[in-house]
Amino acid sequence: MPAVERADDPDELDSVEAAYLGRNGELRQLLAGIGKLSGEDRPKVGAAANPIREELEAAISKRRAKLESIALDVRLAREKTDVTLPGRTLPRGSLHPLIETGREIARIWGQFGFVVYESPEVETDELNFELLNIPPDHPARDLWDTMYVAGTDRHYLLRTHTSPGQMRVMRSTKPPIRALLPGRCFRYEAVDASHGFEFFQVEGLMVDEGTTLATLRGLLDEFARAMFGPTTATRFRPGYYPFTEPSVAFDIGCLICGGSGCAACKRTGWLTILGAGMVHPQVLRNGGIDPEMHQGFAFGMGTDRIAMLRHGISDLRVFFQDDLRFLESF
Amino acid sequence: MRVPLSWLRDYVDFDLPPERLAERLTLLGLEVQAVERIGADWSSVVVGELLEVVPHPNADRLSLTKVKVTGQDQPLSIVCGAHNIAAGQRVPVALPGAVLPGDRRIGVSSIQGTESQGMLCSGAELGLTTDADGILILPADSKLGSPLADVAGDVVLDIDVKPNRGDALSLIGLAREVAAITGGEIRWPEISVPESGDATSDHLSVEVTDDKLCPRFVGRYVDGLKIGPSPFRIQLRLSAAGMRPVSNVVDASNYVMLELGKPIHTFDAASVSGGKIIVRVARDNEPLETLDHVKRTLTPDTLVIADSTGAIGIAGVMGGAGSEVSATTSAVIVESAVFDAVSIRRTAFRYGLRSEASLRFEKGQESRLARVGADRTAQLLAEWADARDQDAVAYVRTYDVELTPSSSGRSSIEATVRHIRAFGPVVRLELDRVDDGSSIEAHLPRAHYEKLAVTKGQRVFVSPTSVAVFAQPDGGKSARSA
Repeated sequence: MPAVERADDPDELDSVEAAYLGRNGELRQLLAGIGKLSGEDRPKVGAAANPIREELEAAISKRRAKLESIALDVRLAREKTDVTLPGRTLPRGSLHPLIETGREIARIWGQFGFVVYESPEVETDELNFELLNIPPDHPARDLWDTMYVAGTDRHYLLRTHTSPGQMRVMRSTKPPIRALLPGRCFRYEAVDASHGFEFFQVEGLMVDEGTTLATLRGLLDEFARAMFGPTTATRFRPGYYPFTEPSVAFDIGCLICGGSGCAACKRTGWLTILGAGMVHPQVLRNGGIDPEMHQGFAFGMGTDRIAMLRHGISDLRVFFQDDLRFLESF
Repeated sequence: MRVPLSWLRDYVDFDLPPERLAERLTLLGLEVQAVERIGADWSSVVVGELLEVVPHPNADRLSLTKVKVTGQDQPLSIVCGAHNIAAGQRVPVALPGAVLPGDRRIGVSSIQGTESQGMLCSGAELGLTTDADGILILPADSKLGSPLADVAGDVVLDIDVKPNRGDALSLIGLAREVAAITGGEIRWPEISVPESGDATSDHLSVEVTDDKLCPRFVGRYVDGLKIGPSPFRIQLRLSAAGMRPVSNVVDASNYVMLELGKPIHTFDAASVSGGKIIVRVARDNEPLETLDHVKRTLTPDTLVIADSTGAIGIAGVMGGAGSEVSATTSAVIVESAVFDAVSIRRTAFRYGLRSEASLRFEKGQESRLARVGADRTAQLLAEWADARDQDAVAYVRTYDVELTPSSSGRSSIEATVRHIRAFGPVVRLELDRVDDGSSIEAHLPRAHYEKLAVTKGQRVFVSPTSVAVFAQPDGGKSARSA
């Protein structure tokens, strides 16, 4: 009995219980011995032993309740909440530089009346290439190293540019069109400081009656100044895309050397930020627009490249590496 | 496309500095990605003459040389490990104090107990060629003591040619752009082929079985070849343009491809059975070991060049190993053809064999270049390999057909005469195929036309000519456009 009272945690109590009442416990042994006694001794010994067993069981049960109650009190004391303590500060997130740059691009073009549209990342070969004037086996397909969806016989692919969105917009709306199509694109490329297998692009499309190359140039100049500062120099030079005619590349004066020539601009003084051109009449026709009535321009810029230029980042890969030290600096 | 400016100057004059030229080309849509100066990283490397080459007293593998460079009272003593040197040669000498590519500094050093006053340079040490084993042997007329950059230096523009500008994948095409900038004119290379010997038809015949996939084929038979290295200047040009010099014959075809944008292939004539070239689609599972020594199994949508025993090359993509020009080759068949652009592109992708040649074919080829390319190659083989070109050229074009009033066999096509234009010495007929209604243009010599006496609406049979041999009565003065 004192052993029961001395037990001060449930494990110790369990072992006391086992010592007396367990299968090989002392009391259990005693009761098992009753069968060997003579006829008249049996009731006497039984009458003496059973009350002891009952008493012992009651004591253990009481002690167990007591111990559990103590344990609960201890736990309650330990987990007591001080409601007057100040709350813990959770780390605050910030926008990823690519999202932030994308929103800034959309904000500027929004001021020119461009509305954001979305189009799928998995496209058909027809929308990504054929309707954009790039038939199968055309050498221009070399411009886009394409990832096709397995098992679809090259019918579905991961879009290599946001340009198929042009076709979707033209087919679902009527001129005048001022559309902005941001999104993720994919190419089968070795990853290095300036190439990734996935990247972000923003496509622009404007189709109206009086849209000309001069409209394009004017808006691009405004965009460049809004994005990179009011003194940004710009230039057009001839480019080539099968879905625009004429095609241009749009350069801004190097932000690092100011045009005198440095490593960033390969000593040319210029940085190419986007490709553009007047939408090819056949592409307009494919989009259900009569090129005799309307004409338009399209452009495509790399969000990643713009973000790199804005923040002076020289390696594209940091955008995709989830490094908090990098992300926290924005 | 890498453009050595010294080579470009063969075809057009310009006095713009390289950076300015690069900027002007970029603004014309031919983006110059880099301006590279070959020789900018050589300092104190000059032309020297080997006066003496003797074995090194303390080392079997080394030689002891005496080298004369001007401005030095005494010849320099230089220890050298290469085995291709001999007295009398002119070689690049890195003087003590010289700096080589990779910031390698050369001084006076002691090699196996002998003082070496500088170093003789290999092409690889100069970053000029990939040859690291031998010393770069300079032409005998290289000016003694002059900086090596004056002899072997160059400026190379690396131009990003867009897929729509197949015409600009050549020196002559880019010269045209430069002429547009300067307002000048381009100079075509003076192409003349000194023909002699037997008629080409004695050695070579050509049969084109699919005129859609091969609208034109020009062949030349060239013999008396002496295989060897091409001239030093040519090797430098090819290296600067990004092509490894191989031998005068291989270099001639690469040179013409870069110069004119016309891919050329040369077959070892001895390995072309019966001297007969057949242009046809491959048979099912036809085997061919290509130049890269891969044994391939061809599919019937592949256009091949074959002889009577089987395929000897994938048209426009890669030649076969069995007909490769080797050190013992003495005669070659020069192929300068036009193939269907889409077919070549598909074939190149199918076999994973995109080559400089297929890249040009898949953008479409100016058909008249076929003849010019064959002639130019023959001319260069004569100049560089002492070759003798046989009289006349094998020439197949789709409208060189044979016309007969009755069927002349399996390959003849039934057609009706729609229109006759009988002006001048060549009569042009427009025919409609009876089977599919498509149109065929046929050119007949007037005499032949008069003999046939065909009239409008008449039913005739057309069969592709296996070969037409054009003699050159003017002695091959210049390439005539066909």
